[in-house]
Formats: sequence, C-alpha cells, structure tokens
Amino acid sequence: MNNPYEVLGIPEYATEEQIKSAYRELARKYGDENAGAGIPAQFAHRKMQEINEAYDQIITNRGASSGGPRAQSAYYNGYSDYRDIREKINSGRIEDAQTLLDGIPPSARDAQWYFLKGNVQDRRGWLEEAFKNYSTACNMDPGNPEYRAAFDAMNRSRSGGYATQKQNDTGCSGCDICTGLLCTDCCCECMGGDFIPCC
Amino acid sequence: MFGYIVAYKPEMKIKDYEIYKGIYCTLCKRLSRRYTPAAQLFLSYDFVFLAAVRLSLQEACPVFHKSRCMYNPLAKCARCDGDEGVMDRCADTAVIMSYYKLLDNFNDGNFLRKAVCIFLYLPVFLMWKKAKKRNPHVQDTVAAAVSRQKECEKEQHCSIDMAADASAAALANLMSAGHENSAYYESLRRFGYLVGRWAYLMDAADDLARDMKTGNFNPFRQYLKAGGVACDDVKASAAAVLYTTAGGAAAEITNIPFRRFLPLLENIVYLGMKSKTDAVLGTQGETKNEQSV
Repeated sequence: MNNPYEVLGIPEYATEEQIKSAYRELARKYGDENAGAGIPAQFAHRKMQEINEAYDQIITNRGASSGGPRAQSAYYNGYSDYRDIREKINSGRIEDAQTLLDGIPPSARDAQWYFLKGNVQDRRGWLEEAFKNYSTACNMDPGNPEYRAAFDAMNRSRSGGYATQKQNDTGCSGCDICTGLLCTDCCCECMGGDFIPCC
Repeated sequence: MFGYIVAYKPEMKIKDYEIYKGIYCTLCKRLSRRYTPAAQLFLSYDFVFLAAVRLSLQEACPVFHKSRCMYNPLAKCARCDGDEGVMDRCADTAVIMSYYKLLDNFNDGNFLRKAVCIFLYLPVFLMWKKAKKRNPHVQDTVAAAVSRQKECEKEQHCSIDMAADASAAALANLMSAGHENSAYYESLRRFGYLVGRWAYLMDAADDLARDMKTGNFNPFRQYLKAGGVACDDVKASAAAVLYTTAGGAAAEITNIPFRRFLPLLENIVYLGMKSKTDAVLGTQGETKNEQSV
C-alpha cells in the first residue's frame, strides 16, 4: 500500500489538525455526493476507500486518544447529515434545521456545523450569534470559500459598508460617448465640415 | 418603537417628502379623530414608516388631496384617503404601544417621572381600552412582546439577539399581518424583524450612558462586563451590531415587491437608518434637538 501521508498529500510531521483538514478536503472532493460530477464514480469510490484507509492508519499509528481509530466515520456520517440540513435550510424549514443541528453532539461539530448554525441564525435575524459562528467556521477551515464569503459579507456590513444606494443605471456609459461622437460627426458632415476625418 | 426610524431629508426628493408629510399628517388627524386631540402626542415617525410600508403593499392606490389643518391653518398639506384601514390600524398601534411605554416608564423612573406617569395614566388607560377593543390582534402582538421582553431581562445571560428578539418579532408581525399567503411573506417578515431589532438596539444604545449610571437592564452592558472597557468602546461594538442589522434590512428591501413609495422607503432604510445610527453613536446631544417636519 502507498505511504498514507502521500495519499493525503501531507508531510509526515503534520499536526493532527492538518491531517484532519486534509482528510476533510479530500472527502469533500471524492465523497459520495460529488461522485459523478466530473469524476468517474468508480474511481471516486476507490479513491475514497484509499483515503479512509490512509487516514485510519495515520490516526492508529499516532495512537490518537480522542476518537479512536475510526474517528473519521463521524466526519463521514456528518457529511450526509449536513446535506439533509442544507436541504432543509434551502427549503426554508429553519426550525427543523436548527433542531437537527442542535442534535449533533459538541464533540462532532466541525467548521461546516458552525457555518450552517450561523446560516440558520442569520435567517432568523440573530445576527450577532450568526457572526460568531461564521467566524468560528472560518477559523476552523480558513481555506473554505463558502464560509469566507459569508463571514466577509457580514464583516463588511459591520463596519457600515453595506449598500446604501441602489445601483443607478442612468448616466453616461462608454457606448453613450461613442454614439455622441458619431452623431456629432454626422451633423458636422451635413453642414460641410468633418468632426472625425477617418469616417 | 421610539422615533428612530426616520427619513434622511437632505437626500429626499420633494415628492417623497410630500408623501412622507402627508402620511404623517393623516396619522395625526386620524389619532385626533379616533381618540382625543391629546392622542396626537403619541405619534412618532416609526408609525409613519409602518404606515408607509403597509400602504405601499396594499392593492388599491391611496389618494392624496390637499386640506388644511387647525395647527397650521395657513399651509395646506396632503391628506391620504383610500388607505383600507391602514391608518386606523397604525393609530391604534401607536396608542397601544404608548400605553405600555407609560407602564414601563412608571416602573423604571424616579419619583418625578412616576408622578407624571400617574397623572397621565387615566386618559391613556381609557384610550388603550378603546384601541384594544378595536384591534385585538395588535394588542395581542404588543402584549406578548412586552411580557417576553420582561422575561428576557430577568435572564442572567441575556444575549443581544435574545434581548432584541421580542421587539423585533412584534414589528415583524405588525408589518406582515394580512400578507400570510403572498410569495414575499418571508421577506417581509425578515425585513420587519430586522427593522424592529434595529429600533430596539438603537434605543438601547441611546440609553447606554444612563443605564450604566442607574444600573437598569441594557443589552450592550455585556460588552462592559467582559473586560471593563469604557463607554466609547462599548459604542464601537454597538455600532457593529447596529450596522449589521441595518445592512440586513437594506439587503432585504430588494426582495419585497413594493407597489409604490419605493424611493421613500429606500431613503428611510438606506440613508435614514444609517445617519441615525451615526448620530446616536457619534455625539449624544445631536439627536435631542432634531427638528420635526
């Protein structure tokens, strides 16, 4: 079997946090919900098995006390639960989503949990709690663009930088200027002059 | 609601200003006719905003015509008709809310304030009884919010979100009542919720210095306990909370298909709320001597 560290794409001196985040990244890429989208299902499945084995092996070798050898299964189940919660949020069933989220024990709460919790609170209008949860999600998984976008949007409005004016579509665009010049040229030519010599 | 939701006049067009003034005058007139001329004292711009939102969502177009009023007989002002009960409902809301505010002032105030409250109690009580009978839905909404608010304030670890929830939900209910079956119901509720939340937190931010002295409940005091920071630092944190809330409301207004008065509402939500936030957090004296329309 390959070197488990190579499978996960991390150096051997990586910390536990790094291992976990690398695993999470790969699980997101090859996990069930993504299989079929650009990656052949069979390949994704095989790859996922390989990743699971590598992760297991590293964790067992290190003798990690918390979670034990199959700690990753919590993550993996977590993903399908989250999919369910996301569907509920998208269809506007905020109360149900909140109940499901609160049902996940604190030890199994990862960045995505905090992001979704923040999203639920955002929908309810509890913006302070939402902001705290978004920032926790960003700290736990700094590379995730989804969490980052939500956090940044909220951060912008915290400093008063939200839109205070509707986008105005009146005004002078580039096309208007060109049209104006051409019209001037036409008028000048009618009167015998020439505004733009080349046309 | 305490008169924080106002338009930002320098950026207003005259037509929007006329509408704003017209709604204000109509509400004033309605309060006087439905209750007593003294009831006009209950009118604040928050109710004008509430009326404007409700008017802009109703199907029939309200009609404005010019008429005179006894307080300023020389100038004619626009009077609104065909409002499908919106104005009456807002007038009742103003009376009911003022009654609860009076009770609240009595409980919180010092001796002088208590005396004033006792003096005012009977007339306000009679008007409240009338309003309660006319509009039980509004009464239930406001009463529920008041009792939830009291429970929250007793709680030891009351977060800002929790403290603001009761008032915010009350405005969400008042604003969205009767629109339950429309597609924009959720947006309208969220919009009302955030504006109500903003108004509640503005009141809290405005009272911060006084509450710190007297020891009354204030949701922003939690920032104080944590590190023992000065009042100015608390204000910086409060600004972030208020801006976020106002920003949320500003984002939500685009999702509601208002039939009319959109420039007026946009002025209030985009500019009015922001400038009011700055005014309250910047220099405290500035808001006190603001002139009315």
